[in-house]
Amino acid sequence: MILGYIGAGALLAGLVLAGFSSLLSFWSGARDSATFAQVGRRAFYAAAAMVVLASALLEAALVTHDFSLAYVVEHTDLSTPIALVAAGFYGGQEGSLLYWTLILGVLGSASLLASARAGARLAAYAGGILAAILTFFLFVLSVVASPFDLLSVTPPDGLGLNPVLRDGGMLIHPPVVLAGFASFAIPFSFACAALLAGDAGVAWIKHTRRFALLAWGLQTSGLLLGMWWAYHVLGWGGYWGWDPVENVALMPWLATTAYLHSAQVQEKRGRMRAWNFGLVILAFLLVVFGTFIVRSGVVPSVHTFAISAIGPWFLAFLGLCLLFSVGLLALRAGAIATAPTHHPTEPVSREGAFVLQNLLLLGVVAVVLWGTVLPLVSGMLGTQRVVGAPYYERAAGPLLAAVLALMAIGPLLPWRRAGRPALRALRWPLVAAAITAIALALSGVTSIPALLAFPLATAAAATALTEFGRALLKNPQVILRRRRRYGAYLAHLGLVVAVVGIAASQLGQQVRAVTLQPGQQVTVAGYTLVFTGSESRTLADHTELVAGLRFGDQVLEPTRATYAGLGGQALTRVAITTTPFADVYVVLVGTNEDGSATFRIFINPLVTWIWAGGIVIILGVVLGNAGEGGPVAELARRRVPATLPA
Amino acid sequence: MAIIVATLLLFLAGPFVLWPLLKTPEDMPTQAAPPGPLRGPTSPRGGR
Repeated sequence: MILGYIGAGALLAGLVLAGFSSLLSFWSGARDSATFAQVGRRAFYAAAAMVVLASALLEAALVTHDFSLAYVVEHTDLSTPIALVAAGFYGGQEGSLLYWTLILGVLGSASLLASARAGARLAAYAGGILAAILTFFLFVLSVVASPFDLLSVTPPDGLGLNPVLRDGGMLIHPPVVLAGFASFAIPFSFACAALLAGDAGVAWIKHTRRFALLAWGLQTSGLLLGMWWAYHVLGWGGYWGWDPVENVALMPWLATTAYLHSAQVQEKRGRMRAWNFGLVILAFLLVVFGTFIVRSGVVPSVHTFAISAIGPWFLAFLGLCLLFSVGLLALRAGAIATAPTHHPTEPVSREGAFVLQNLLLLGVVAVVLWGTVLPLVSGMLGTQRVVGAPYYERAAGPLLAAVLALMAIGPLLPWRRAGRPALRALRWPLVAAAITAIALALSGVTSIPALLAFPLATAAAATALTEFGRALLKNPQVILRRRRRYGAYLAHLGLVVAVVGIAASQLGQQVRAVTLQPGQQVTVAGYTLVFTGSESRTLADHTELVAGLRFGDQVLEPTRATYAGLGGQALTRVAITTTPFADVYVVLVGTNEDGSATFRIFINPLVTWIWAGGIVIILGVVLGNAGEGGPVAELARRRVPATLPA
Repeated sequence: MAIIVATLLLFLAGPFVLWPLLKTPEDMPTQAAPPGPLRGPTSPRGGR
């Protein structure tokens, strides 16, 4: 009980400190007062420390089974394994909000610690905006959805975690996704601060580059981990269902991807200033919109366990952020417009490729946004309409194919204009695409999406590999010296590997529903499985119906678990085995009185490529972000002669 | 009870937050030494 009081007190103290920090930082920015800006920053650090204290207390309450707290009762019980009890911290509405706030506080403090270098006024305003966001979250946590609410009577046991969340994926997917969402508040705050300070230079981009890359890396990992979790736990044979919650996580990722590319145009050529502000604002607004969609339940989703009464508060917050940031951008649009230059840019150039890529990615955002809000909009107009996977595939597929083509062409184009040598460099990706297309056609592939996706992916891979090959032949050290550039190529390569996995598993999936008697066998796409029988097992908090299927030397055991203590909720445990070319994915639908069992068997080609591609992308992000020096260090390096005199 | 805890925590955080305002002029690092009468004329290269 004492933990509840101290935790609620820490959140309240954090709320006061964050509010104070926000007001003081804005005031010191307007008055250009370095001393008060410092006090504002210190108040932010103190507010973050209160959030850290509250988080530690909630974790302590969870692992010590303090059932005086409603949150602990609602999300854990005595039989839940301790790792999942600890993960209960972000397993429910209030806890996940506290986790969001924790990441905001910690990363926000890190970004403010070194912010003075970006300019005193910029730093003060950024601190004010970050503190305002922190104030909103702490207000919701203190007043609307507190994880420290106490029960009048302490029960002997809790209700336990939702069965869908009782999986190893629960330990990593939600915290990574939420951290990806929370971390994008930092580029947003510095972008709005630059607009407030009237500083349209690259200071805010340079200062937040690492945070934007971190946010993108976390969002990428979160999306892939979510796909992996859905694939292993939900048992419908796929990893992406165009569910509203998946869509709202994808949209900020697309906007962030666009921003990471267009920011380079501003850094290198001083162009696209207003566009970059707009993209960062859009990405953050999409994050808040996504949080509203997940928490409010306004559209039907598989994530209904996260619904609560905080939806209207997030809608109001979204409205405020929209008014503030878009209003600010509109007010400053004239002042930040790119100055005319004597060096016009040709459409066929690196900048041109980035602009086109940005437009294509925003096109995908528009497609996904419309598909996500259609039930809401159509419901308000009369009949609720829902779109499925075919809509997204037909509308977004061609746009994504064009992005893939740009991944093959763009990196080979020079800045400003592409001359004959640059166009000659395109021969390798073109040859790779042509060979792949011919090989596919000769092997009897007639699917247009396959004939587009695989050659384009090969071309994009050829571009990245050509760049690595050139560096290795000339001077391998350049890869480590220009980490940002080669990190990006590695991320491209990872994305291509993942795209091949997605295309192969989407276009080549085979499904079969069968009922087998013990001893009977079935062959799907050349993979033979023999049903050996089924049995029922009783465990501590649930019962399991397990079927055995022999596949070569292995025995696959698809399972259906039933949790009697949770109103008979059932959970499917998929049996998956990976072969060099495909996953054999078996779902137990049920057993019958005559001893037979019904299965859905999926053969999913190259799914492991998706997870492997994800790992390569993260390696690329790490390489691109690991200790590369700033412009001064870069300049110093260039001045050092290649060979030193003896 | 939570309000009492919050007040206590705010008292604890107060000195850290307000420290830049509590510093006396003696604590402040001197920005530049004022030109004294004994220094004499200095050249732009530091008097060398």
